[in-house]
Amino acid sequence: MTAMTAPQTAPAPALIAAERVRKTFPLPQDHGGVFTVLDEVSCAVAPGEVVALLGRSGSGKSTLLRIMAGLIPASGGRVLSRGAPLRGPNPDVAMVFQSFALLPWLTVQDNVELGLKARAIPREERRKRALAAIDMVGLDGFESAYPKELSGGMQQRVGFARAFVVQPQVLMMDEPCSALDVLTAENLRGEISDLWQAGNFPAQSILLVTHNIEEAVLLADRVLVLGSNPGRIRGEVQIDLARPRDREQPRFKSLVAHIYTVMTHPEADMTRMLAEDNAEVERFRPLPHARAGGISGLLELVVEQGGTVDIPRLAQRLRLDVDDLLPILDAAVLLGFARVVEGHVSVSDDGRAFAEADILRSKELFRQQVLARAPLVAAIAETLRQKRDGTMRAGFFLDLLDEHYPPAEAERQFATAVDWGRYAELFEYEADQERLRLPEPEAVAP
Amino acid sequence: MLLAALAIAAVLAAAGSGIGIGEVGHVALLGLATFARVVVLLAVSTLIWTPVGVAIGFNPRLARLAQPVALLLASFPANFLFPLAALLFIHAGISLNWGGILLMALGAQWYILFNTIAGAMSVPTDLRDMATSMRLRGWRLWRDLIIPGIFPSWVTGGITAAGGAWNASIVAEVVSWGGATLTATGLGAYIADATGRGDWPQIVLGVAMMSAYVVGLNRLVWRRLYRLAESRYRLS
Repeated sequence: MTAMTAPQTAPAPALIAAERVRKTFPLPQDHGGVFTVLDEVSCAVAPGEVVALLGRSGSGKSTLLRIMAGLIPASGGRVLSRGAPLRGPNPDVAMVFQSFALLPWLTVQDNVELGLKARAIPREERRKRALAAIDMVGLDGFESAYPKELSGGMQQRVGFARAFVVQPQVLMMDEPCSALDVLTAENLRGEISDLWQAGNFPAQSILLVTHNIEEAVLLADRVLVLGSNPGRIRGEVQIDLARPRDREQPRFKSLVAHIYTVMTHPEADMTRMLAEDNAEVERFRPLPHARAGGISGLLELVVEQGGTVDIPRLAQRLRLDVDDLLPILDAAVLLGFARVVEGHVSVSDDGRAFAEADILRSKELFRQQVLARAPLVAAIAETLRQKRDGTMRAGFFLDLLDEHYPPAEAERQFATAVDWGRYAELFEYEADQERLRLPEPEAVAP
Repeated sequence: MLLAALAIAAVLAAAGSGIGIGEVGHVALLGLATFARVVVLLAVSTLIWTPVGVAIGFNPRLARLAQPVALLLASFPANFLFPLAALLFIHAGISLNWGGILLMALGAQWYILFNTIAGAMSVPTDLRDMATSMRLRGWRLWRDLIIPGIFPSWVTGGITAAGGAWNASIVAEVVSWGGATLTATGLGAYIADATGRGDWPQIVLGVAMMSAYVVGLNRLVWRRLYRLAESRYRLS
């Protein structure tokens, strides 16, 4: 945790500051119950800096961005816009969306002019400014095209032009490259970086939301790492690299590795585990969304590499995003198959045995660990054993989960529990009847 | 083609039963009167229910409260209200030529409301966030985002509401309370009257004319709007 510092107050007055922002959503099934998305998050964007909010899905980073943009209200705390409390949409902000958010019935020109029209800028000036913005993103000649005629990368350029043209104080980018293919995304990142470096960037500051560590290190001056469930700031990393940045620089690599360490650092989660040693919370501790096959595959790979691997290198080798890799790592850690220390993953003795065993033996090991360490799966198996016919409707468990999670997450938790339970041969799931059942007696391993 | 077939059927029905071409023309004009009622009904229902539907569709909490209420209202058989409405019209001295529009709307308006709600719900959150962030408000918000965004759903609602209204005209253009009967000028009243007298040639002529109107309008108007909605206003 050496480079992790408490969020520091910027010397210049912040353009936007979030102060102890909380966001909760009511749970539909549970009257009065809430799901906490953000818990006491404070952060600020100073003039002239690029800040990245980095986190996994479920860390509430997009929610935080929208609260700072004034698009959704916070449940607690406040947002200051140049020192004044923010009410309603933040006029200093323009936003670039993951989904591009273009109006399909308007031409490129009309889409870009949208914000100018709302500001009642005369037609001729509107046209000129829009053309300049379209030119800036390299789309001249496409003014009269409709979005569906353009590729994803070009559509996102229109999204940038639409944000540039209003010359916001802060340009907010919500996963701007996540819907693009790898090459297009890399190209776009390069151009954003070039524009920023050229010094005539049409915004004073940038606030970027991403789950891609390299994207954050490539673009940001400061990376705020958000933890999940509930979202909170886990650490801040200064990116002291000269621009343009090169992924091959040793310092670049070590910063990426360091951020991986912050993101996978178990300490913060350990304190939470101790604080919440109550059986009810324990039973509904979220399962990381990883398939049993994925966990076993990952462990085999790490064992082959000698038992300990640098996580960024592992991600690179597997060509996996942090959002895809970390749940698998988390699951391996949860099940006691691996440990994560300082950006490295190392396989435990149980993990080695699991990875090297034949299929029957590995299922047995998996079952043993799941029963001991994944209370949700164990609880499902126990419930089935208590039923005389050994079966139960899936809806029963989904209703229970609904009291602790938002509906989509409840379904994902259930799907993960079913996958683990099936692999461990603890129960079977008949999808067409939506019923769980204990395995046939002869199928139970001794 | 279907239109032509129906027209021929109508003419044959007329010819075989001694109904003159003049009667066919008269029935066509009656159809025009009912058509005018359908148009007014769609316009007024759209003006009233579109803002309500959008408000509900954009607000999940409101939607949870309003949707069961609206479903209950919509499932109430509107023609139970017709005699009461007749009483009201007689006392207020309202002609059924106008009152009929209201009666036809009792059932048909809900299609506009429900489809508008569905349309508003289908507008992606990112687009709405974008509009809020760009500070699009009032008429500009309606013109640039809401109307195009709900247009495909409105077309679906419009087709259904119009079809429902044409059918409803048969019971809405003639209503009675006690001994008093109100009659509107229209194709629905013509069919109802012919049915009451058991006049087969007139029934066939009336129903064929109504089918011709409905099918013709679907072809000429609704299908074009539908194609426009699909090609330009689809939110993927």
